[in-house]
Amino acid sequence: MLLDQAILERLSPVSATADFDCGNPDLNEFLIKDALHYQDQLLGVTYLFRSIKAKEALAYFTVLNDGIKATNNLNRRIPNQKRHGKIPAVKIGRLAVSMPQQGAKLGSQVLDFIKYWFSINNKTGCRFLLADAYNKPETIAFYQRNGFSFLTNDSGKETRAMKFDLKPYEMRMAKADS
Amino acid sequence: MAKPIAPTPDLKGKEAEKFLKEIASPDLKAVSKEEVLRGKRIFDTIMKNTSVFAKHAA
Repeated sequence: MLLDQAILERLSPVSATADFDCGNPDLNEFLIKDALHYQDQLLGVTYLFRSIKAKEALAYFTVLNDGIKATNNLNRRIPNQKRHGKIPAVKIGRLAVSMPQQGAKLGSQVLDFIKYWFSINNKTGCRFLLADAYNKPETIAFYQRNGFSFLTNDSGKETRAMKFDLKPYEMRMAKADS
Repeated sequence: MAKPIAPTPDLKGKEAEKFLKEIASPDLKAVSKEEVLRGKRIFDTIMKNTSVFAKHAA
């Protein structure tokens, strides 16, 4: 697997990102110009997968705390003390793979990493992963292949909110450990 | 400046109902053992690489 020879690096002012190119100007610009500002304001943290040998950035993702607000009478099934206005989630605000690495399922490996990372000991209480996916067939298909489903039926926007439930994942982890 | 990260929409009515039903009864079949093992293998490898790399860089 490609990530066999990679390290995880939290974005910092000294991170070399200027040569990152995933083929999408918006995703490139976010990493090169905006990601550090998000981080400075504690609005999102960006991580890079960097190859050990060539030091090139293979992929990056940005994560931030989020939640899903669902208002319905069924909320009453949850006991009062546990009822919460929002179901806690982590949003994958951006995810991109550099052009030379595309087509090798690196994006799926990044998602596999994130799922496991946020499930292991579930440090902050996080039920869902959310993705802000470009509303393009190939992007939607990528997230669906990786177990994500639509959060809403609203298909008319530039991006679509997609969700991955970490509870079944955590249940499967527990089963695999036993 | 790149486009901002879009806010997550709130769920109401039938969408909220469907969502709350889903979370009330999580489906183990939605995730395979292979998927979890794949995640563990990638996570362990990356963390090991990162730790070794940090030691060398120090």
